[in-house]
Amino acid sequence: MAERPHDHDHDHDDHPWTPPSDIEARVRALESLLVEKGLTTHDAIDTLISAFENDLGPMHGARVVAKAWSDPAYRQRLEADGTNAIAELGYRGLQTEHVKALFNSATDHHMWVCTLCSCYPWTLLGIPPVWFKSAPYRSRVVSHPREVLADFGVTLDPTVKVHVWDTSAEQRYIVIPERPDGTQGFTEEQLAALVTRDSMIGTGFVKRPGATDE
Amino acid sequence: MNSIHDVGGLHGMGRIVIEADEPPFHEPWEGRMHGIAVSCQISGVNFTAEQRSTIEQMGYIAYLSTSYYEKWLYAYETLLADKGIISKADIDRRVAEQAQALMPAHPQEPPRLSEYGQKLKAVLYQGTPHDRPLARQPKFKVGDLVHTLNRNALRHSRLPRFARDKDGVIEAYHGAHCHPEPHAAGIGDVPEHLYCVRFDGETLWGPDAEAGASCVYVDLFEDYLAARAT
Repeated sequence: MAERPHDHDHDHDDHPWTPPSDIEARVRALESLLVEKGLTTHDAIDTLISAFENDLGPMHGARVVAKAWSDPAYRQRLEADGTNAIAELGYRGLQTEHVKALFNSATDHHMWVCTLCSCYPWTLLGIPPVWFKSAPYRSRVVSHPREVLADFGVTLDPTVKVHVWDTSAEQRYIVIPERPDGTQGFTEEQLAALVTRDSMIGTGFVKRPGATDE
Repeated sequence: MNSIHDVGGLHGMGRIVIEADEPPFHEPWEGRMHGIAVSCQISGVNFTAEQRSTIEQMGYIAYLSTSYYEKWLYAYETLLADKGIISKADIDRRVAEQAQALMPAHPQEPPRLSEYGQKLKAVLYQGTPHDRPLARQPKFKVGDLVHTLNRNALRHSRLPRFARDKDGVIEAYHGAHCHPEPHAAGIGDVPEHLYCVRFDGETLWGPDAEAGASCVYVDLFEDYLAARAT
């Protein structure tokens, strides 16, 4: 494939780009210019923000986990075809078009990362946390997953095999943690309340039943 | 492109900082920047890969010293200018001319949404699948032994450096997806077979691999892979 012509005035290391001090005004100006050109509308952007602030978040992924814990047939469908099993619960959308579920067990621990940028299943887990998008996590987790887990307060038995999944294409991942003990008879809602965002990335544990804090 | 965005396996990037109860957007402009990016993609201005590719060209110092959404502003100012849609001077002028106003902190979806707003909402909740039909049969199947190519072209690539020129095993076949390189070049959809390739920790990191069993899986396109016998 041909190289992209390099005839534009990108900023390079001799003049590193720095964010403008009036960044809010600049984004507002960019938005109004795009609106004038018919490339967006203010209400479309309002709607996207409202969706991410009020609707799309880790509670969706938590419902998938809770159902996988309580419904063996659903768990099988989730193993066979994550995308469609997740869509059964109404969850699909931007950056959630292709999803594979990774099942933790007593012998195997899964976690995922995007080393090249910050790919994340937006409509299943929401907007990614800053640590997920930052170089310290992205650089270290592929070579030193156990050290990274320790930073999150997670210690695995040395015999557990760690599987790190790098989302280098448009395939997305969700970890299905192990169902905690002491949850017999819990409803799916009670189970979902135990599932944390980090437990679905693989950097955290689920909450213990009866624990009141995070 | 061998730039700083390709951080997998680098040392010295600092400690992981975890923020408790983190909001989706830390400032109102971040949410609007997210909406601008999604709008541009829906309106056919650019592919996601062009946004990534532009960020990859911003330089080491800028990349490491800017936040996620600051990088997105850089990407859209740059690619809109490159495409001749909105110049940086247009933005400068608008900043100088526009009335002072506060950006609303938590905007709501209006009761009556414009046609474009409905379109964006539909894309947000339905997605834009990346798989495409491809008549050519996949070259590899699950369990096949592969070797990743040693590729160093000065363009967008989704073959991370730590996974180049390495022995791996096909873990899964994802179907044919749009190849990100033609997308990054603004060419359009070119389907290619996509696989999940498994690498042992020791294969990637040698004797310096972290103690304990581990493996890394990378989703790689067929043209990044060669067959190997043993």
